Amino acid sequence: MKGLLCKDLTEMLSPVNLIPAAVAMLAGMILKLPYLFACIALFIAVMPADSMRRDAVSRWETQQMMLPVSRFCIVTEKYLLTLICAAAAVLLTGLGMLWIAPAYQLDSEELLLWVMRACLCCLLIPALVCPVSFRFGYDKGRGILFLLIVFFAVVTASELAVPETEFGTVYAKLLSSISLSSMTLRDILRILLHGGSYKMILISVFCTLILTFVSWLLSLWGFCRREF
Amino acid sequence: MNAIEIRNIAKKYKGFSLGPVSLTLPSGCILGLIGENGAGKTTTIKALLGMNRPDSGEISLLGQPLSADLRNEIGVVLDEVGLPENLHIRQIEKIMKYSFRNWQSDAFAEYIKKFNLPENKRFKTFSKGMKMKLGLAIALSHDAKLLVLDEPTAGLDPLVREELLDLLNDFTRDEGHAVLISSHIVSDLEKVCDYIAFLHKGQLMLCEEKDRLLEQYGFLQTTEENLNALEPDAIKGRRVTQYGAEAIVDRTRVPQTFDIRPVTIEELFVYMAKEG
Repeated sequence: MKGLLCKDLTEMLSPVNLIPAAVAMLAGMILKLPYLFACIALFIAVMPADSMRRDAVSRWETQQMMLPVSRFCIVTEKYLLTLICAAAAVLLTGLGMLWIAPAYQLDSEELLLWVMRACLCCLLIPALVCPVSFRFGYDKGRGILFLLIVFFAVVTASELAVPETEFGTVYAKLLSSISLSSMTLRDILRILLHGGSYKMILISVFCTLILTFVSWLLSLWGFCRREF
Repeated sequence: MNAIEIRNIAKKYKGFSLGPVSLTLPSGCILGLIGENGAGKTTTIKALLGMNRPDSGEISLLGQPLSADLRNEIGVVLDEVGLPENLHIRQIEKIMKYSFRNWQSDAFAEYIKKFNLPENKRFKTFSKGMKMKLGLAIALSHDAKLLVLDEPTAGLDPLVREELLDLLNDFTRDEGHAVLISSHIVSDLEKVCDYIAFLHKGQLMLCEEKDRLLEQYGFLQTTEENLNALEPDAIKGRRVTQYGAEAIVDRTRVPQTFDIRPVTIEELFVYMAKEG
C-alpha cells in the first residue's frame, strides 16, 4: 500500500496541482475572501476522484493489479488518500479563516463551522464517487462526480441568489418547495453553506464519516467482483 | 517444479468462450502462447494473473495459488504499459521500491542504462518501444522467477524485438526462471520458445515442446490426388490451389517416398488454424 500511496501523493503534489492551490490560498489571504478557501477545499475534495481519473487514463488501474498488493489494499489506499485530503483541507481552510477572522469578526464557532464544511465536502465527494468507480470503472464514476459538482454549484448559487431579485425569489421558492422529511432543500443548503447550527454541522460530519465507512465497504465489495 | 500449471480453466463471455484450457510450463523454460487476435490469449493471461475469475478450473503459479505476496516473484508486462503519465523514471522507481519486497535498484539502473531510457522525461513522452522497455526493466528488477508477457513485441521495431528476445534467453539461463509470452508474431516466439501452445477461437489446439513439433510435423507439396490418398489423420492442415496442394502432415503417418520439408511454427499454426 505504501507504493500506491507514494504514487498518488507524488502525482498530487506535482506543480500542476500545487500551483493553482497555492495561488488560491495566497489570493484568499491577501484579498481576505472566505470563498477562496472554500474553493481550495472543493479543489482538494476532487483530488481523490481525479487520481482515479488519472489511473484510468494511464491504465494504472490495470497495472496496479500486477503489484504485490491485494484488492483490499488498493481500495483502502484511496480512502486513506481521501482522509489525508480531508485533513489537508481542514488545515488549509482553518489557517486561512484564522488569518481573515479579524476582518470578518468571525468567532470561534463560525471558524469551526467553516472547517467542518471543508471536511464534509472532502469526505462526501469521494464517498459517493468511489464505490461506482471501483465497481464499474471511472467512466461511470465520472457521472456521479459531475452531479456532485452541479450540486455544489447549486449550493453556491443559493448563496449568490439575492432574495430581493425576481430570480432570487423564484429560486428560493423552488428550493423551499422541495422537501426531504421535515426539512426543505433550502434548509439543507443553508446548513451546508452557512452552518445552520453548530450541532447540525457536527451531525452532518458524523453522518458523512459513517457514509465514508459504508462507501469503503461498498467499494471493497464492488472491486473484489470487478474483472479486467 | 512447474512455474505454471493451468488445469481445465474455462471462462464464458457474451459471444466468446475460452477453454477448457490446460497448460504446464516447467521452470527454466519459455512457453509461447500463439493465437490470432481474439483467440483468448489475453483472457488466459488475465485469468492467470487474477484479473478475471475463470468459471471453472485451477491455476497454480510457482507451485502455489496466486496471492498478493506471490506477485513479488512474478514480473508482468502487459500489451500496454500503464504507468503514471506525469512521472519521471526516478519517481516511478520509488513507487516500485515501496511496492516490491526484493526491489533491486542497481539492476534497474543497469537496465535503464542498457535501454537508453531518458531519466529526465515524463513517461507520457516515451515512445511505445521505450514504454515497453521500461515495463521490462521493472519486471526484471524485483527478482522475479516468472515473467508473464502479453503481446510485448506488438508495435516494436525489429531491433527492439531482437533485444527483448535476447533478454528472455538470458533470463531463462537460470533454471529457476520461466517465461510465458503471448504473441501473434509467431516468428518471434519460434526463436526463443521451448514450448508452444496454440489457441484458436478460445480452444487450445495443442501444447507441445517446440522441437518435438518441428520433428513430428512437416510441409508437403504434392497433387490433390496424392493428398487425398493419405490417411485423413495424417493431415493437420491443407491448402489446395489450381497449381497443386500443400499440407502440414504428421511425418510418422506419411510414406517416406514423399518429399517432406521442415515446417515452421508459423506455417503449422496458420494451417492448423485454417483447418480448425
